[in-house]
Amino acid sequence: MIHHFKNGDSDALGFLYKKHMHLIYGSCIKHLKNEEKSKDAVMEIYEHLTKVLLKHEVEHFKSWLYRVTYNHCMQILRKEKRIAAKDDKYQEDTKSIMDFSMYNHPSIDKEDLLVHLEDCIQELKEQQQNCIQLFYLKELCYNEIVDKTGYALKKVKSYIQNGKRNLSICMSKKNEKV
Amino acid sequence: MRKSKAHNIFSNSECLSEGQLLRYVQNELSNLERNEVEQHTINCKFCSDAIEGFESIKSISSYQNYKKGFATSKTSYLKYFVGIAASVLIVVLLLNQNAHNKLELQTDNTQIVKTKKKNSNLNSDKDVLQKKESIHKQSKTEFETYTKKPKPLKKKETERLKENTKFIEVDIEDSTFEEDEEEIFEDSDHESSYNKEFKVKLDYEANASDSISVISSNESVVENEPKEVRALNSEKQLKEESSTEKDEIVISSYDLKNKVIEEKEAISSTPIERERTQKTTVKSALLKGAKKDYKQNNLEQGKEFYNNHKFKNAITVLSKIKPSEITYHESIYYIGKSHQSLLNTSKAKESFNILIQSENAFKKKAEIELKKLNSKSD
Repeated sequence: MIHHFKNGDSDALGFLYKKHMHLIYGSCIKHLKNEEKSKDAVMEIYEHLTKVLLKHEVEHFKSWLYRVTYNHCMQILRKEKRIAAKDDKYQEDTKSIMDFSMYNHPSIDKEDLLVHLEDCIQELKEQQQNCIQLFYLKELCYNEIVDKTGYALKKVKSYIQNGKRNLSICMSKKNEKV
Repeated sequence: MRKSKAHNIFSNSECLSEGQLLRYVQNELSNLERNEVEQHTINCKFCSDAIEGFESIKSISSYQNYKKGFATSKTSYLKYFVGIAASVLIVVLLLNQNAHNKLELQTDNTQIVKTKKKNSNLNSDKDVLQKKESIHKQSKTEFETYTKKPKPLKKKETERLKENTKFIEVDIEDSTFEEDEEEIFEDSDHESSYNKEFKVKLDYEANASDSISVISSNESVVENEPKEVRALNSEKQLKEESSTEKDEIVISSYDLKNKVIEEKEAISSTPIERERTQKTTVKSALLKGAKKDYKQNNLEQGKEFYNNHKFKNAITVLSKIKPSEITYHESIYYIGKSHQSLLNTSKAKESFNILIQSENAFKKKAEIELKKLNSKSD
């Protein structure tokens, strides 16, 4: 669609943008904490895209769009001089983007790596192991895991994320040995 | 089973659709569907941020209204500029054309116009002919001075010119607006009638410059005020002539009479009427935008049906998307997924095979789905 837009089809960008608008709007609300400002930001980001997309080649549109949205929100916050207090928090966020963006880090989906999956799950800490098994293998949602284990919601999310990261590290190591 | 689910830990899934996200936030999903969303958000910062954002607001209705407004404002905004550019071009072209046609029209008028002699001083045909010629000459010289050599104007004349240019500007704005409407409807009849009306407007100015007092067949007098400074002198002369000769020029042509009525209507349209027509134009533009959106949204509608487990509806809607459209591959993917959900494995495989055969964004996903189908059938 970006290709169509670059070839002069202005509707293509509109279509593409509308498809991701809920994500942009939601992200803006998360960062700006204001609905009206978020609405303005969504419009500004669209205008920005119409200019930038003509100049740059974008390989992974979604992760790029997330980055553009995030930067735009930061720019607004910086203007409002509210950024200082939040710097640490956002640095953490940036790190987590790099950790979890499937576009920046291609996910492990090769069969040879998955051979070691079961072993690696067994090597996880008990809480992480429980949460991973309930979440991925028994396909329970967060609320159900909270009910079943008694862990707090935030803890459940954290166990799943950390467990997944540990699994990835473990499998990579075992694959290197092989 | 356990192994296939373990695959999910490192598999990529597609970002949340709007429907999925909003239903998740509103707690309208089943536990299994919630798990699917949560598994994705573990991997995707964009979606997890969006969910956090939506969870922090009270209602999603303001977002839905905003999205509708965004679509229409974007299209109307573009149409507005395209419309203005197009109408300015057409106005310039018409003005040029009118300048050429003006002289021809004058000669036509003098042929059509017949004089009624009320004064005994003007009995002979010779006098009538002389009068026509003088009018014709005057209009010709005025036209030349107007188009080629603008003479320095007196104070009164410049004031009048300012007034007249204001009038013309208003006319051009109106015609610009009408041109927008015309572009939206794309109606050839409307176009021709518009051109006619616009031409008549310009003709009106030309006629006014000649200061011909027009009397319709039922003897109602339509006196036009001069609209150009160039007409000032001729008006005075003609008034003098008409006062001495008491000659009235009658337009017998039915077409000309109609033109004059149209001119009057066009000029006498009030700002309220203009506003009304503007509103109707905006409405029609919105309608057209909505139709276009609907066409584009076949995919979204299909996905919506798919997310709502209305797989048959999803297939019928998505099948409407042609191979030439940019959303074709995505639609085929969802058709395949729908067949898969309806347990039509052969049809699902067919759809995924289509995606595998060419290079596209859904090739990998189709391969994964095909693998799943094959492993199940095994």
